[in-house]
Amino acid sequence: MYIIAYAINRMKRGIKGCIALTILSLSLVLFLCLLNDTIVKKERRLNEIYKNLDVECVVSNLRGTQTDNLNIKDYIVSLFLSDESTFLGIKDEIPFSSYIKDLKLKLTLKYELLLEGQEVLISAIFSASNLIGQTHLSTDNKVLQESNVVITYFENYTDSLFLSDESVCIVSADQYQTLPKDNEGYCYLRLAVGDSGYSEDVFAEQRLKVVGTYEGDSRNIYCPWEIIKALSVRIMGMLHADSLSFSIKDNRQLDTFKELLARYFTYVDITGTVKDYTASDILTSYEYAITVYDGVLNKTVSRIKDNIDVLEILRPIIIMISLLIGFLASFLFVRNRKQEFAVMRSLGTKKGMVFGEAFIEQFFLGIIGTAIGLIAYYVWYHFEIMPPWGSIIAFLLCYIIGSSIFVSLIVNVKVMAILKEKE
Amino acid sequence: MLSLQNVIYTYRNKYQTIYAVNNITYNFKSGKLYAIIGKSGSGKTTLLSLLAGLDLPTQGKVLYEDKPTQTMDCDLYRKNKVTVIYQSYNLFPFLTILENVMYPLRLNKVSKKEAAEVAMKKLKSVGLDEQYFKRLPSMLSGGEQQRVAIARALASKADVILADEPTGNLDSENSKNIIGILKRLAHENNYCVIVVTHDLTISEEADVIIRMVDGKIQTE
Repeated sequence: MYIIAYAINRMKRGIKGCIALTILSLSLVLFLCLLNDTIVKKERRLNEIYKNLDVECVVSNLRGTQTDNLNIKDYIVSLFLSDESTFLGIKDEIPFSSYIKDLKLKLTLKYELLLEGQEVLISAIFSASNLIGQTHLSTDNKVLQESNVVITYFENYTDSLFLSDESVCIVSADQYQTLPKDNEGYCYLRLAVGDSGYSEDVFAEQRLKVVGTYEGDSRNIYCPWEIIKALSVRIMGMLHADSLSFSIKDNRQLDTFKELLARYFTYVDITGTVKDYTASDILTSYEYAITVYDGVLNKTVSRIKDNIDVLEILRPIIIMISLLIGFLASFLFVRNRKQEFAVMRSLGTKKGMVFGEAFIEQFFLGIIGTAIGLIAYYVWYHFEIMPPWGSIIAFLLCYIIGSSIFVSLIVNVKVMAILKEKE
Repeated sequence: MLSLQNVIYTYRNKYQTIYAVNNITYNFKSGKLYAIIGKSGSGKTTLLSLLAGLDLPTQGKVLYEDKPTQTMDCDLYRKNKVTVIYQSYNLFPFLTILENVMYPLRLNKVSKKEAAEVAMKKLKSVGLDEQYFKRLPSMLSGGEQQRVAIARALASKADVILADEPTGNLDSENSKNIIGILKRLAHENNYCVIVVTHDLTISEEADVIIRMVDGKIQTE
């Protein structure tokens, strides 16, 4: 018990040294916290960028000059729609479609408007107007919202109708004026739908409710992708598309996904330069190209990654230096008290008691410094990012173990030799 | 009381084995002031270390009341049987004068109050009154610090006082005072006081002078 009283007394009287040691440990702990905070925040920022920055991929012709009216074939469209994919007969562990989000598809068929009871005049269909099925409005430039074409929806319909499988459509405002309405004011269309590229006697009948109009006098009718998809299969027995684009679901998977894309597409970079992927194993020649708009992502990510890389290199060095400082501080602390420990020993104080006194003092100061450092970190940053407990505990251990080793060394050397040093 | 029986203490330097203490046999008695004199390197301080239980002989025995230090708990021996006074006083710089003297008492589990009372008496016995009690050692002169060191030695239960050049850092007047105190402790309080010194004044006042030459003693 006396040794505790002695330690307290000593700390009170040697307050400057105690404050210096406390400040040293609190500074190092605070520094470790801030370093960790910086790295973790940068990693979070990187994750946010990977998560939120959309990388768009657009299928085009081989030169990258055309992205619409491509007649994209069934095997390509199915890749993006199916829940499983195979390559050279082997099922992919992660299906092709799971890499993508916001798939945008468009397909244009021909239609002829039929009155109630009117027979289909097949020959008339193929000189007729376009029925455009799409997943998003933006897939067709003519109704692209950014081009300021005003679209008026009836009831509670919105742009999202294109992602539904409802038999609905929007028509031009001028065309809407000419269409017959029922007693309640609703307008239902009866269409004969076919495809100009196929034999003339293949067509299907489709009913669509008009749920909105767009400005202008065009005869183009826009309906959900699911409707046109079903019509395409009914008419041609297979699916195809005019245009196809999508975003990457997880940008961290971009490089892996690019390798998968190389099976089916040649690559056009954003400057328009065509680059061959490695030759496809299943295709003798490519039919389509793809542009991956990852320039912004790469630029943003590489800057943050560079920062993180530097910090990650520095982190172990800084931690090692902190541990070393902890070790050296304890050494200096003990060295300064060598004489005092020798006097204690010469008065018959047991080694264990001398060791205990130094340990109590060192442990107390280390803990106080660490606690103040953590409190300061909490006050400034509210533990938004948890402190690096491992490094802090390692620092404390080095600090305490260091002093324990040095005290043990000192109490075991010849007391008289230490006491005579001063003379 | 305290005796040396064929004590040899050797250590090795780079080239050879040095006999710091070379086969000494001697009996120290209580109530006497001994002065160990000799040139530097003659083995005086090594002998003092062996007597204080700070080191153990390579051969032979240091006996306290016929018990060899090798078989004793040397920490207990220093706490209760022998005490050492040094040339550079070696007081605890962070403790007050009173707390310094209380240290051996508190180590022996004497209560704080009782320890303070005893320490005050001991300080007064060496001529330091209350005005010094709450001062730190750095606020005292060399002679005063050495008196505190003696008071601390007296506060332990020891009946052997070992002193290593106790007047080495003091002027002649302070030296005389310290010698007077040590002599009084031997003659009036029956302590066995053994002083290692170069100081001729001490050797003149000593009851027995032990001259050390090359690790051996020559009694005068």
